[in-house]
Amino acid sequence: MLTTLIIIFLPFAASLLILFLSPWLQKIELGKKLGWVTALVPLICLSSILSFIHQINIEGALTFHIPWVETYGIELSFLIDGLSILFGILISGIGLLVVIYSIWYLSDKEDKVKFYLYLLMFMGAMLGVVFSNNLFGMFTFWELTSISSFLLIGFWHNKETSRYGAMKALVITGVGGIAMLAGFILLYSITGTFDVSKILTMGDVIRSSSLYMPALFLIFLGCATKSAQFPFHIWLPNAMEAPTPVSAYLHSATMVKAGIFLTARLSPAFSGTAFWVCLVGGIGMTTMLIGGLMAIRQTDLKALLAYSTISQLGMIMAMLGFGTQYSSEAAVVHIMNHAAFKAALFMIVGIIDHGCGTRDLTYVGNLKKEMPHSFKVAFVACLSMAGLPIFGGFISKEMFYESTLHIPFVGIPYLIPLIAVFASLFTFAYSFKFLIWGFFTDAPEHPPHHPHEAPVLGLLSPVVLATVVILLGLVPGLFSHSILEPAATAITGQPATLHLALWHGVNAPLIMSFFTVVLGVLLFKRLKQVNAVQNRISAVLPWLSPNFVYNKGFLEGIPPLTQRFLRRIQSGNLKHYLFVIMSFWMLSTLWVSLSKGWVLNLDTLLKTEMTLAQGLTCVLLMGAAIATSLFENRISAILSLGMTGFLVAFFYVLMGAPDLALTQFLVEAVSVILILLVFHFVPTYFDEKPSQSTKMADITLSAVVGVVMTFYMLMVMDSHLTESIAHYYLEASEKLAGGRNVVNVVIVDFRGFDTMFEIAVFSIAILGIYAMLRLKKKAKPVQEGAPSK
Amino acid sequence: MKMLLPLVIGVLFASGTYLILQKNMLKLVLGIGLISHAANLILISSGWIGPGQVPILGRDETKPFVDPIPQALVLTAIVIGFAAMAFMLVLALRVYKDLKTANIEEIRGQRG
Repeated sequence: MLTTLIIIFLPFAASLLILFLSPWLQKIELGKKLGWVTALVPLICLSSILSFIHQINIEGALTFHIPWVETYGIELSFLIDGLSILFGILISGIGLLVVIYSIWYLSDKEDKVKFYLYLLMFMGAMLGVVFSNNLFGMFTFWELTSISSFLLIGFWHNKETSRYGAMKALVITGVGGIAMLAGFILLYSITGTFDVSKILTMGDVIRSSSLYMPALFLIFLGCATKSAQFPFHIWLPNAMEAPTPVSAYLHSATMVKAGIFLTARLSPAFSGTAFWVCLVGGIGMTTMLIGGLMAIRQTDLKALLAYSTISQLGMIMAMLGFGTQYSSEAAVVHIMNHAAFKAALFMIVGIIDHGCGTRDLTYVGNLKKEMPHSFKVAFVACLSMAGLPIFGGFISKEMFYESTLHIPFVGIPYLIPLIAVFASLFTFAYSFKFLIWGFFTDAPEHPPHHPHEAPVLGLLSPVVLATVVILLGLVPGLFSHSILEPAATAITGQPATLHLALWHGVNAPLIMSFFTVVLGVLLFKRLKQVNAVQNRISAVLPWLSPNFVYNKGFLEGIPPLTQRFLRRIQSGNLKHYLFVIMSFWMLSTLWVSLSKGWVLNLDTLLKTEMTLAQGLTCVLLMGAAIATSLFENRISAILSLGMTGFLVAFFYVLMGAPDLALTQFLVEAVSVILILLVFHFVPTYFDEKPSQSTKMADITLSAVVGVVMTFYMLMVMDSHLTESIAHYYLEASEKLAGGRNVVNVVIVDFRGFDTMFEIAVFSIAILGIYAMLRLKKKAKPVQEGAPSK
Repeated sequence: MKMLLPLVIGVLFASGTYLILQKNMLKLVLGIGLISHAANLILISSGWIGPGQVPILGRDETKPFVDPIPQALVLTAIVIGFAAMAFMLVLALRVYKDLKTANIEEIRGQRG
C-alpha cells in the first residue's frame, strides 16, 4: 500500500519540492546538478515497481483503495497487475535513462527547474494512469499527462512552431479526453461501478448492452487521439518541437502508449466482437500503413522517427484489435521492443543534432567514422526496428505476422496478412533510410558544424537501451516469464505462456519475413524516386492530409465563428443585455404559470368589494407611474416618482400596515430630496430622441412585462397553496417577546438577524457612498470639490 | 380591489421597464425605484386577504388580523431599497463628474 503511494506520488512531491526550492537551488549552484537529484525519483519508483513482480506472479492482481468521494463511488484506488507493472517499468526505467541523458543534453543556459518540474509531473501522472483502478482517477491522471505534454512540447515557448505543436497536441488529445469521459460515464451506466477490476469481470454484461458500441467508440476515441492513431496522428510530428529527451520519453516510449495501455486494459471487458476487431484492428492497420508511407518521405530524422512511431503504434493497436490470445501476447512483446529501440533512436538523433547542428538528412550523412559509438547503437536499434533476426524486433514481427493469419470476424482470407507485409515494407525502408543515409552515404550538403561524438554521459542511456534490444532478441526468456507473461495474462484474462525464440522452423511468418526483406530492399533502392512521387502528390493534393482539416477548418475556421458568436451575445450594450434578461424572465414566468395549468377565475376576483379610497388610490398610482416614465422634464419626473411613493404608502395604510406606511413616507421624502440634490449636479436628463423602432421595441417589451406581471399576479392572488403561519406569530408575540405590535416584534425579535444584516447592508452602502464622494482622481487634478453631504 | 391590484403592479412594472431601457443613468435609477415599489406590493399582497385588522394586539380580538409576516419582510425591503437607490444615485453623480456624461452607451469603454 505504502509502496504504491510512493510510486505515484513521489514524482509529484519531488516536482513540488523543485518548484519551491528553486530560488535556493539556484543560489547554491545546485541548479546545474539538478538532473542527478531528479534521477533518484525514477530510480526509487523503478525499484519499488520491481519489488512487486514476485508478489504479482504468485498472487495475481493486487488492489488498494483509499476512499475519496464515497457518495459517488469515486475513490483513489490502485490496481497492480502484470499490465501495470510492464508499463510502470517502461515509465520509470526509460524515465531514469532519459533524465540521465538530459543532464548531458540540456546546456546550463536552459531553464532546468522548469524542465524537471514538468518531466516529474508527467512521470507521476503517467504512473497514475497505469496504476489507477478507478475510471475517474484514471481520467484525472490521463488529462494531467496531456497538460504536462503540452508544457513540455512548448518548452521553448519563444518559438512559434513550439507553440503551434503544443496547442495542436493539447487540442487533439483534449477532445479525445472529453469523448473518453463520456464513454466512461456510459460504461458506468452499464456496469454501475467505476472500479476497473470489477468492470473487467463484467465483459458479458457490457458486450450484450445496447450502449456497448457508443461506449467503446467514445473510449476508443480517447485512446486513438492519445496514441496518435489515424486520422488523429497529426499532432505527433509537430510535438517533435519538444527537446529530444522529451520526444524520446513522452512521444515514443510512454505517453503515446497510454492509449495502447487503456485499450489493453479494457480488452477483457470489450474485446471479442466484430465491432472491436473492425474498429481497433482496422484503425490500427490503417495507422500502420499511413505512418509508414509518411515516414519514408521524411528527411528530418526526428520527423522520420515520429511517423515511424505512429506506424508502430498502429501495429500494436492492430494486434490488440485482433483480440486473440496470441496477438495480445505479440502486442506485449512489441510494446517492450518498441520502447527500447525507439527511445534509443531518439537519443541518437539528439546526439546527431548536437554534433552537427542539424538533423536533416539533406546535410547529415556518412557519420560512421565521426560517431562510431552512436553508429553502433543506431545499427542495433534500426535492424531491430526493421525486424531482422537476432534482435528483439524480429521476434515481435514474426509474432505479428503469425497473428494476422488467425483473425476472427474477417471474411476475406489473406487480406490482412498482405496489408501487414505491405506496411512492413515501409518499416524496412525507413529503418534503412535512417541507418544507410545517416551513417554510410554522403549527404548532398554539408552540416553547419563538423560532426563530433557525444561524451560518455550522453551515450550511456542509448547504449543501455541498445543492450536491452540485443538481450530481447538473444535471451528473450529473460523478461518473458517475470514481466511479459503477467502482462499478456492481464490483457486476455487467460493465463499466457510465451515461447519466445528466434527460430521456429520454416513457417508462414518466416516466408512473409523473407518477402518483406526482399521487397523492402527493392523499395529502399528506389526510395529517391518514390519520395519524389510522394512530394508531387502532396504538393498537388494538400487536402489529402488531416492537417489540412486542422489548419483550415479548425485554426482558421473556428476562431472567427466564435468571435462572431461572442460579439452577438457579449455586445457590451446594457440595453441589449436587459432585453435578453427581461425576455427570458417573461418567458420563464409564462412557461411556469401555464405549465401549472392555472386558469383565471374571474368570478371570485370580481366579487370582492372595493372601497372608493382603494379604487382612487389604485387609479392615481397607475397615473403617477406612467407619468414618471413619460415626463421628459426632470422635475416633473422626480415629483411623479415621489407621488408614486406616497401613494404606495397610502396604499399600505389601506391594507392595514401602518408601520410600512410610516417608513415609506419617511424614505420617500428623503429619496426625493436626494434625487433633487443629485439632479442639481447632473443636469442632463434628456436622451437624444430615440429612433421610432427603438422606441416601439422599448414600449412593446414594457407592455409585455406589464401584461405578464398582471396576469401572474391575478393567478397568484387566486391561489392559496399553503396555510399562513401568521397565527404562530400572533399568538407568540406577547407570550414570548412581550410586544403587542406584531410586525415590530417580528422585525426586532423573531427575525432579528434579518434586521441586523439589513443594518450591515445599509452601513456598506454608506461606506460606498462616502468613498465615492471623497474619491479623487489620481492622474488629473480634481476640477470640482466633492460636495459635502 | 383584487382585480385592480394586479393591474397596478403591472403598470408599475411596465413603467419601470420602460425607464431602465433608456440611455440616461438617472432614468435607470428612477425605473429601478418603480420596480422596487412593484415588488413590495407583490410581497404585501401575498398576505392580504381583504379587509382585516391591523396586527396590533390588545384591542378587539374577534376580527381577523392582517398577516404580519409580509409586512415585516417589506419593511426590510423598503429600507434596503432606499440604501441601494442612494448608492446608485451617488454612483451616477460620480460617473458624471469624471466622464461628463450620463449616457450609458457613452460611458462604455471610457476611463476617467
